[in-house]
Amino acid sequence: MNAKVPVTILTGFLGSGKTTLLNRILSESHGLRIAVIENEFGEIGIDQDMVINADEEVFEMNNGCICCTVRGDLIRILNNLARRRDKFDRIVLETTGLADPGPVAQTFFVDDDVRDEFNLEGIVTLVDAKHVEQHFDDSDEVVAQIAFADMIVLNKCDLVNDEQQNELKERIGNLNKMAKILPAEMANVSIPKVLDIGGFDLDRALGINEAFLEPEYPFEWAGIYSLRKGQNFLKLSEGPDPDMSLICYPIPDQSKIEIPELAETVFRLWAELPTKLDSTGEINPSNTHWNVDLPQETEFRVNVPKDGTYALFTQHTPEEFDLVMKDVNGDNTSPIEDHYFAAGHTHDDTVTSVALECAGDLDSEKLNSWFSVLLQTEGPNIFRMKGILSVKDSERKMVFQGVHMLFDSQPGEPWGDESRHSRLVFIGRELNQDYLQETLKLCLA
Amino acid sequence: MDSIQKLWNFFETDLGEAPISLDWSACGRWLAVINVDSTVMIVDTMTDNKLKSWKAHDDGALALTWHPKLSLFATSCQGGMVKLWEVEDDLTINEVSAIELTPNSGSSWVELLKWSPDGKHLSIGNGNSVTLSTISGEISDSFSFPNGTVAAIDWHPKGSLLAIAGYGGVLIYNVLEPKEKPIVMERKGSLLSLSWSPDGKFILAGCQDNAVALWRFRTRKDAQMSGFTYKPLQLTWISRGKRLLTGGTRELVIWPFDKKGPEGRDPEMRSFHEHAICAISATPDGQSIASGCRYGRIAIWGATNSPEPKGWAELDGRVEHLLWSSVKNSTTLAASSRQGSLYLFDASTII
Repeated sequence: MNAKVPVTILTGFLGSGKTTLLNRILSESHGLRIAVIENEFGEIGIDQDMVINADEEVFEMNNGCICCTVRGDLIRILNNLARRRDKFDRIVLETTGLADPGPVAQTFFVDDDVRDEFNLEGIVTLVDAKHVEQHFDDSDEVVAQIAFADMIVLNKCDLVNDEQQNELKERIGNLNKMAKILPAEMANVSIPKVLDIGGFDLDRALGINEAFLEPEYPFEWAGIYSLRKGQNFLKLSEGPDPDMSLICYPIPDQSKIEIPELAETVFRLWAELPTKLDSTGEINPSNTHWNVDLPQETEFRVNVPKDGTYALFTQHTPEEFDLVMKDVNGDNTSPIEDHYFAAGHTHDDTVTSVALECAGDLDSEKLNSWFSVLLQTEGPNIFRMKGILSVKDSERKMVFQGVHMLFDSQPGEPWGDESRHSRLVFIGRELNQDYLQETLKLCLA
Repeated sequence: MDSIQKLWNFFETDLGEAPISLDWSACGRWLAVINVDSTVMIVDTMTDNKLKSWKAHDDGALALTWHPKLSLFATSCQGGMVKLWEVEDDLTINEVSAIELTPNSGSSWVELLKWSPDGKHLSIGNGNSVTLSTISGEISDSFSFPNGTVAAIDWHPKGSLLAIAGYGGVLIYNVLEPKEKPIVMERKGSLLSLSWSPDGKFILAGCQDNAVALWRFRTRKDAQMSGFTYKPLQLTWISRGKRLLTGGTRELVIWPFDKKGPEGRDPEMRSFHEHAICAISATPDGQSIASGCRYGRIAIWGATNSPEPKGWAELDGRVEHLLWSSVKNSTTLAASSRQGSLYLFDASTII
């Protein structure tokens, strides 16, 4: 049998630049013969022989899978293309701007003939850096398109400043920590980079985002200030929320300042019920978890007991509340170090990425049961899942990927001398990392 | 396997591209094949397999079917076009007519062609409707399938009823009363193939979810046959409709449709193939069967008393089509592979 034809799904909200990228894919000399299945005629015409129009015919499967919808038109088109596979090296499949990528992706898991001939290599989502913010809250499709992605092309970056771009990257990263984010202007990304995603390359996915396995904290920012004894001031403006939690924590003398370690300490203090503080209140650097009312711009007194370094942890980023620290002379003072955290509660997005690791071999029967229960109960909430599993008595890595309740696995490279451990990534709504991690451990052989 | 006779093809040709459709003329003299780039090849078995080929459409081909009585066949393509071709004894090919269909639901793919049993109408499946054409290429009626794209068509053996299958079930139209509301036979999921039993009592559909849906036409009572590992698209009747052959598994499965039907009765299972069966054909007299699998192996079976094949053969790729010649008592089997090869086998030594 011939190798399977790699397929890249190209998705993105209306106006995000899909057609521009598609034209670049078709016109640049990258040496690949690409068949394109497109859903809509964009504002820019495409003039190529191997361009096929699809009619977005979504249907439900009668297989007991409650979230299992597939694209009937794609099954027909792909099965026809399977008879012409000497004409092209790969397929790019464009979805409509308003489409949920789920049915498109699921088509590659459901239909036997499609599964035999084609391999879903990856999902590329184009995001309009200038306008996506306004769609986050009113469009489930935008969130789903980002959550499904293996790669996100953050397009039109020339229309936003660095700060906006970084905020956007952070927000997208919170939704999908697995995807690589490629900033672009006019969709000018490297075509081989976009197409050669490697759907099963979990190592790459894990390695790209350093914060991938960083715990999620209830605070978004920490700043280390050098403050002198006396009355300092914390000025906060009215922000998106009417209040905000914070901790002003005195760093013990001689302590080496490591914000990640401090975060663990503060995280435990944060578990205490907050002490309410109105605009007339004073902040005493301590272990106290404060919740400050912010009906308007307020300047809180910060009573510093002695010269030293103090860590301020805030629920939201300083930009959201125009945070300013003033020293004993009333002058603005900047933190000597600060750190932004990928907080799970950011913008109330319920879509998150969950990474699980488990050293040792897993028992195949227990693992099957675990997946069965997981997909039955959480399948509708899971957008994507990928992983490498170490299964007892198997010399090779077991590589899997899935969409919602559908799941496909195949043997990968031999383990060789590498230490055997399993790594899984789930992107979905309201997934319970602790529960998943604990129950996965029960599958150890 | 050593005890089973290997068959060698007496004819083989390279089609250049993968075949899309293959059919024998009613007289059994001509075999027509159309490949993905719309090249039609005619094999004349009366003249030592003389060949004739030409490009039938500018767009990719989707279907080909011979008229049930005349030396006439129809082809269709992705560009909304159906053409009727007449073959003369000297292999002169005449384009009789061309039917241009309006894109339906955004689709110009004409995926289905099926002649009525009396040959008066050609039913044409395009998008979410079926159009009827006369032999001269005049469109007479059109029948809609609102649920989505039409996936399969079949005619009642007596010819007045047209069954259309797709997502959500089957609609049955009376072509004599085209304005009548259709009979609806619902089923959750997507139906992909369709077959009316030779006696008209049963309607069967191969489903996307690896099952065969079944309805009794008179009572509308439905049932399901399951246990398939792949989509069971192949539905072939033998024994005058008393038994049904299905693909979609490694075993050739023969379902009993005599007496009260298949419910509660075990089908006969015949093992030989190591991969799922994707093509089946029965001789016109129903005495011999050919099955082909996804990895290119063909088996020839007797309809009865044949627990193992009488012969086997190997193609150069996935078996795309198998079709016994339409001549009564024929022993000629046509086969095509996805690699683009066309074969003719003579099974006279084993059947």
